[in-house]
Amino acid sequence: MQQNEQDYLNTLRIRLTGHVSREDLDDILSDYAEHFSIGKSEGRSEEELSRALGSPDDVAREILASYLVKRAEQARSAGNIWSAVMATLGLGLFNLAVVFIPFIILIALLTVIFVAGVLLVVLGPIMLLASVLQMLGAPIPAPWLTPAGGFFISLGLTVAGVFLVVAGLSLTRFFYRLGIRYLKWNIRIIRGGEGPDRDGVPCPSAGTIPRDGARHLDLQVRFGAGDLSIREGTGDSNLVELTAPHGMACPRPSLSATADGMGKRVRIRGRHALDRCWWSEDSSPALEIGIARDIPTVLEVMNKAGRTTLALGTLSLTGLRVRNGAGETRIDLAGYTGGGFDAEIRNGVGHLVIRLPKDYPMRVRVQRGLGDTDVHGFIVEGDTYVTRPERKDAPQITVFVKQGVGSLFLEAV
Amino acid sequence: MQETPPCRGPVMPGSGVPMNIQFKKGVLEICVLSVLARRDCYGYELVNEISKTIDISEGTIYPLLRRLKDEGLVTTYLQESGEGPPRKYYRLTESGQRTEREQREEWMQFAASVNELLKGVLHAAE
Repeated sequence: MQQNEQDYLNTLRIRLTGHVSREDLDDILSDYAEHFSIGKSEGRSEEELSRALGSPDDVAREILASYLVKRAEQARSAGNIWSAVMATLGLGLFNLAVVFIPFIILIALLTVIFVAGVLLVVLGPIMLLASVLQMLGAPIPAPWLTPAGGFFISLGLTVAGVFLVVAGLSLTRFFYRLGIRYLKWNIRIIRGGEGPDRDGVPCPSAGTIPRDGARHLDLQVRFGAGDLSIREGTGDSNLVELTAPHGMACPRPSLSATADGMGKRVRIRGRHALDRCWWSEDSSPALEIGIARDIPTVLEVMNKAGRTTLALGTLSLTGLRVRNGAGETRIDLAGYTGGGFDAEIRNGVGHLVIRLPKDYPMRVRVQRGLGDTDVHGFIVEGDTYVTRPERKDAPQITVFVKQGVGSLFLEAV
Repeated sequence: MQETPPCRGPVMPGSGVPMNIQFKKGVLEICVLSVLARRDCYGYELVNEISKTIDISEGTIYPLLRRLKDEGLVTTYLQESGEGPPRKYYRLTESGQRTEREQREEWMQFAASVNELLKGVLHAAE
């Protein structure tokens, strides 16, 4: 894919926002901006430089993995180690079996130790009480032979329970440290994604819907699992463009269009057979959709599992509905200049990052479950965030956000 | 500008032939360290130096530099350039120099034994 400097830096920014602190983000982007500026001063073109740099997605994955592992090391928490494991998995090359399955087995093992320990700690004293009562002559049916024997058995169980809990705690600490070292080693040795040489491979699955004078667009995208990315960008006469770079091993997404008065209704369905794609050597299946820049669009997106990236800043929206099951969702409307619209964003499990244009009067109502909320550039009114820009004539944007488990990053830019 | 000897790390005979990407990643660190051991570089220069001999996505060198900085093996400073804004230079710290020496030595021994072995196999094939 041909990318100029702006595209490259934007993709990096979108991928990293919400994970990496603002100073670090600026610092990272400035490295790449410097690279472009020196390269250009030596007469290389932006496209040439970005091709040599390789995919910004890969670069972002690499930065994120190191960053999140560092964070998990500094602040010990289940959430941090989870993000670190997921980010390292995102590097993609070593498959799930190398990291994920040992991780799950370990968690299961530690859980068993803890549950057993706690059970013993709770049961021991109850049995102790029973045996003491029995010694005092209460008629309690107990499995042991003598009251004194019962006393010692239950005392032993209590001690064993305490021991198990303590051992479980130090085992957890030990495995946490070991896990961090292992993740670091993975990041050092193994590098995911593809080198620059892969850019030349033609996309095995692609499709276009011509414009045919349509005045508006109703686009519905349903995707089974994988990376879904929607942004501005089609040839002149096209309404919608579809590419599936990793589609080779997978069933192709279907693309259909019907006339709808003066407009067009376009449906995209990507059904991916999990057994064939998820475990394949390629990283997860991906779908990229480009939409014509100047056409009023109602966009409805559903992704069951995987990363969803919507870079809509240069489009013109009349409505937006996003539903993501599990995985990260990023919606970037920075620099938006189109008309007002209503949006509904529902995210199940995973980070949710939303960037909205600050020059519009906005009302963002948030309903959320578990995780941090990080909001910039809004005025808080209860569970609603609003902006009051100076430009009074700008159309209204109303957003409803429902976030399940995972952090929410909301920013007016 | 003075001529820098190229990184002498993992240059395979007939380089330019696509090399296993995991392999490259493993040796990228020692390459970066050894270029910096000769002189301080700014990012672009370092990337260029390395991509001359190893075919790799250039963008991944920056995250590596960032990690080396986190681990205290390199530091950075800004220096004015003749044209344009100041550039960020990378320099090895003392522990970076030590690591570079150790890793270079390890690599040399490893490469020598592998070469030895490969030569033996070649002779046997003839």
